[in-house]
Amino acid sequence: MDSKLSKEELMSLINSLNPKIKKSLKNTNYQDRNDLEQEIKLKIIESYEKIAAIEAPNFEEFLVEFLTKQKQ
Amino acid sequence: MNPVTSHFFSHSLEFLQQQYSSFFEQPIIHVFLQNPEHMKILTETLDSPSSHNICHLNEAFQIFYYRAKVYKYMCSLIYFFSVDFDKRARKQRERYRMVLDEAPGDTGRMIDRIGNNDVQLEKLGETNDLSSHITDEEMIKALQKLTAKQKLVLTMIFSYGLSNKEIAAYFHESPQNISSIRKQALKKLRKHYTDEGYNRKEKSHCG
Repeated sequence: MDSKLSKEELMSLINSLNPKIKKSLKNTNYQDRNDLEQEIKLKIIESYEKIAAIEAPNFEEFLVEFLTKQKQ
Repeated sequence: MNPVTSHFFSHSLEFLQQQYSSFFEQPIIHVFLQNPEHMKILTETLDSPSSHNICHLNEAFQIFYYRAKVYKYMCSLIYFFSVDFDKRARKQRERYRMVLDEAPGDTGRMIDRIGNNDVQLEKLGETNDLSSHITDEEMIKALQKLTAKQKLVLTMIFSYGLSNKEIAAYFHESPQNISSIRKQALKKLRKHYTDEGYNRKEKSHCG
């Protein structure tokens, strides 16, 4: 199974997160905002490997984990 | 197959929702099942818990969960990176107060601006720096509506990048007052635009 993110998907994900990025620009000065926007996008693309390495459990694994946690 | 999950899959959905209510209340499961397609996969799996169906469910859930995790990861990344970036930028500004030999990309007039800075600070109002930066006619009109002081404060904030504190020191006032002047000025500008938009609409209706 290929649950990994393709690079195209990553780009579309960045685009969909654009409002969030814009909001975070308010954390810095007017003069630095364009820089920050670029740096954030760069940072996300740089951490592609990390993002691709994120692992998620499947349904059964999640269910078993949840049930054992609940028993404790 | 795991006996726990096979036991789970042998029940009907209604029964499960009662018996395992806390499981269905898990945010990830809740949102997952809001998608009708995912719900369909689950009901199909419960109807006939074949290994093929279970596999299908597992896959769909894993992809969904992975996306959610990536999304979360990126959101925190954006937030913390922006906070960090500002910290670094501030440190940089503290250490290297003026960078004279490097032009900021688009304007390329850093030296000119700094050269005049001290003299201009005394007569900011006369140079009317803010409207000279603006090309939008409506904005210039809106700026003319502001009081002299509001204009001056905006000029200091946006053209010179001074902080509320610094401006307050210049006027011998409190930073809170500067902040409220700035807020009011921006509100006025915004109001000009909304009013203007309304007028234009009205005109086009009449015409």
